[in-house]
Amino acid sequence: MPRPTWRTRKRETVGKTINLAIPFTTEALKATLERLESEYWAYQEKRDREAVFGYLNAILETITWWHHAGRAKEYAQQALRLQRPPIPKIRNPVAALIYCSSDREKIDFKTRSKWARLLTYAKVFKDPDESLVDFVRRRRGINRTVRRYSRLLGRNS
Amino acid sequence: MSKIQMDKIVRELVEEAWEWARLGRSRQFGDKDRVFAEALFELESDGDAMRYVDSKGRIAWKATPDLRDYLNDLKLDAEADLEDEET
Repeated sequence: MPRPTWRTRKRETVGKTINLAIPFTTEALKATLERLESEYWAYQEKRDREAVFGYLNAILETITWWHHAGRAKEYAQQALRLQRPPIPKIRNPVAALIYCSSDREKIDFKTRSKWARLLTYAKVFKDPDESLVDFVRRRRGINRTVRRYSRLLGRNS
Repeated sequence: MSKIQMDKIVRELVEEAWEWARLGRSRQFGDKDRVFAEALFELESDGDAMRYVDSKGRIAWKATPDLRDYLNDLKLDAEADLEDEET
């Protein structure tokens, strides 16, 4: 793996300059998607039932800072545009990020939607110091957590 | 510019960039925050650093799992080399 170099390169930016004037470039977005894909395949290679939380936590971390910067929808749409066509219309940034970083043959619309609702719920209600796996365990599993979320925030939240 | 929150690995890398800039070896010497920001920009684009929201709700920076693995491998190699030298 090549090590960091310090030369200045001109890069195309995704949207406006954000956070401490450090732009989030298209290259940075591609690197982010590659990292999330690695997390996805690491999860696929494990037999552990809780391995999915490594991947979901990586998605949550990314989406949380995108929201914090007020650019979640913009970056998610940009991520979708980087995919091979045909590209579906996905409005939810979390679902879009899952679509861009997982195996489309394996992760269907229902699973994507369930994970997206789980992460949206976790983004709102999870304590920052609590791990995602503990958060879901306390609610006795992903399905129960999602049902709870649907009751509290509505299915289309 | 407010203080940039970083983990130990990322801080070491940006401080190294700062030292190089200060010595005038790799780029024009500039403001420290600017050098830090440029180094973070490069690290993020190369997939070595990532932003996240820390427990205090601030945007912070940390090394990516890839960079951590790479550094861990380097450490293990160095330890193995040291063991070989000792035997």
